[in-house]
Amino acid sequence: MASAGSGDEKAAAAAMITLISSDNEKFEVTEATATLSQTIRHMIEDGCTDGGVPLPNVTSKILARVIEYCKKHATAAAGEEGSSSSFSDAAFLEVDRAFLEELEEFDDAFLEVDRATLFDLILAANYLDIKGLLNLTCQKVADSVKGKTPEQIREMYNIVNDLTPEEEAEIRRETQWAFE
Amino acid sequence: MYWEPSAVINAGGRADRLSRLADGVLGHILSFLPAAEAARAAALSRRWRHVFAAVHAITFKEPKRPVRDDDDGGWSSDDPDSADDDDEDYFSSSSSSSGRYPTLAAAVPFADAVSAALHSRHRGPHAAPVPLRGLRVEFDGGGSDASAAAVDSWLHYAARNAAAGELHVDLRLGRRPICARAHILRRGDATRRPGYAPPEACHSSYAPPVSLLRCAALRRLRLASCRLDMPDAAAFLPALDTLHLTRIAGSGLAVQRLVSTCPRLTDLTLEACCNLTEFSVPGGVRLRKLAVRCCHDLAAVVAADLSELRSFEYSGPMPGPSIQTMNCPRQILSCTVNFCGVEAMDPAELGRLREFLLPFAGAVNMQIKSARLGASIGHGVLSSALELPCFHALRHLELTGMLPEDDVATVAGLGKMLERTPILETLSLFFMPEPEVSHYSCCNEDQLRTVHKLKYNQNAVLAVPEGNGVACLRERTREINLVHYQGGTAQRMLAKFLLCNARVVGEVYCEFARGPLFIQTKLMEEITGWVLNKSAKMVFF
Repeated sequence: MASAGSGDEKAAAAAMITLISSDNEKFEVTEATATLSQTIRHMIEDGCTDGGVPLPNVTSKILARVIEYCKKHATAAAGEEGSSSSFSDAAFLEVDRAFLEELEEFDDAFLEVDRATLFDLILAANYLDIKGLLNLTCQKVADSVKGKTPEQIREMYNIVNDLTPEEEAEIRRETQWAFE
Repeated sequence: MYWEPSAVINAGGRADRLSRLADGVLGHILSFLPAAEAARAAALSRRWRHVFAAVHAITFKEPKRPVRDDDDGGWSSDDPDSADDDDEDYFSSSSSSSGRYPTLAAAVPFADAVSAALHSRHRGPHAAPVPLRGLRVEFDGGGSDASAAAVDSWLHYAARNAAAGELHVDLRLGRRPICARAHILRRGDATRRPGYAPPEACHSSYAPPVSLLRCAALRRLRLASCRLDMPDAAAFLPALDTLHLTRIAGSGLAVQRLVSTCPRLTDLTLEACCNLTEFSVPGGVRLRKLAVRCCHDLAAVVAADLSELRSFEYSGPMPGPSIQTMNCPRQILSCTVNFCGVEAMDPAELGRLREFLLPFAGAVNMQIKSARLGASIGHGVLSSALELPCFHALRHLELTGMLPEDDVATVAGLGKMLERTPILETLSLFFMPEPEVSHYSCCNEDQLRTVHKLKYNQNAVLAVPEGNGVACLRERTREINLVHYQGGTAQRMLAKFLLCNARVVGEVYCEFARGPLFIQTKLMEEITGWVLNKSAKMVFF
């Protein structure tokens, strides 16, 4: 990928981190990619990443996707940081503009997953504390329920209504402002 | 304590995975929704009953009301959007009231709902709700005394319950358009239409409390239709990086003072602040983004250091305020200019245009919108290419404006301007239609034919300026877009000039103004004939 060139080169000199999925698959990633996760960033800062970082909550299938996201966005972050230091380089501005569009397209395509995968991604993003990925995936769920009635939302997500009619009435009374 | 996420779904197939998410995640999801929708989730099931306490962003937007008619102070009620059930009470009561705030009747229940929502966060078994990261409230009539106490209480609440360094407050107490000035061409000495609409003053009397203006957690602040009366040292916003002020009442000095209390500010937008005559960016503040929209009396922007500025946007009268800075932007990504109102023709004003553009001459993207295409380039002092700055880094240029039939001077001027854009890759021209007596309401087919904008006079002489000196057309320009092309003589001259000289153009897009197919076909054939590079992709709409 041409646009990722500068990021990869920069990262090549940097340290590599090994991530280990719940099913024991190992993934080698650059530190720049891994530190999009605040959880891993803290581990690196504490110096406890030697021998790999076990991620018992994340399957290899999901971890591969998460890494795909982080790689893409780490390049973007590098470009953004680099922007203040490389003013003389007019070419990067062009990359900047085109890359932002590319990034948006990437995010859209990234979200083209089935619902089970979406939930796995949310869990992984939350556990690994990857802000951008958590926003992206949660926004997708929010969009899917926007403007829907409670009944439609229950139907969509298989939510069983275990409220008694009394409880339901109480909720409506408590949050009357929201039901008006 | 570890779990295997996928196992859940494999077992059930129809498992409720959403409800299994942690409170924090559910709260995060609901934070993307309007507050009322987020709160209604409590009725989904027992699991959801108290999730609202985990919602960290509270958003309330009152449905838009019909546009107020400035002439008689009344409201036009034929707007289909106003047909909401919620609005019925409001209309029946407002029609009888004659006060300055006809939205009062609706504003109070709306304000009550916002207060109730903040209160709802504290219901439930949890000791405390999650810290607040966002409070966004938009409604009309919020400047009234009746709602002032409520608004105060929300802002106090937000300041007290804010997540450290992450609070985003967006308070809009009025939402009228920021500018009422149409783009108008001057013809000869006389203007075609009388002057402007009167200045759109801000009537709001609501001033945000000091607790907000001293909130250390505040990261982004947007205020619209508020008043700022700032005594010395009333404000200090150490974490603020984004500030957006719209239609702020009070003296321009207060706006100035507020900005001077934000050491970390990088993104500043000032809109319709009609009391602002001079604005200075305090030393130490390194803006990355500056937008000044329709602060019509602004004469000067003084900034010690604009070296980090990456994006500049201006709309307002031509030629714009004088920009005074010790350190010009080092690398500016985009410069967007919209000269609203009547075009400038006075040589002195046109001369100032050069000074206005000079600090942004290094822009990579530039958009200029003005009554006359190219901001009257080719007229007056700017008719000489040497008067123009050299746009040495410009790759994408977008010009929007009217190009009247006989405006040969602008065609020549644009030709000269292109001599000053050596590496231009994309050139887009949006030809605004010229205003005329409106006949759009007629629906007769014959009448429609006569009011269309498209024309083609095959006898017109297209005296095209010499284009050999235009380096960018010879070597760099890959894409030319003509939008709303009407086929007037000057427009055809310009198109011919560009296309006959663009040797390396790869893509030509042309969108015609509405009109009969036979004229479109004529114009299309003509354009196709002009394109020098026959391998270029041509698209017509």
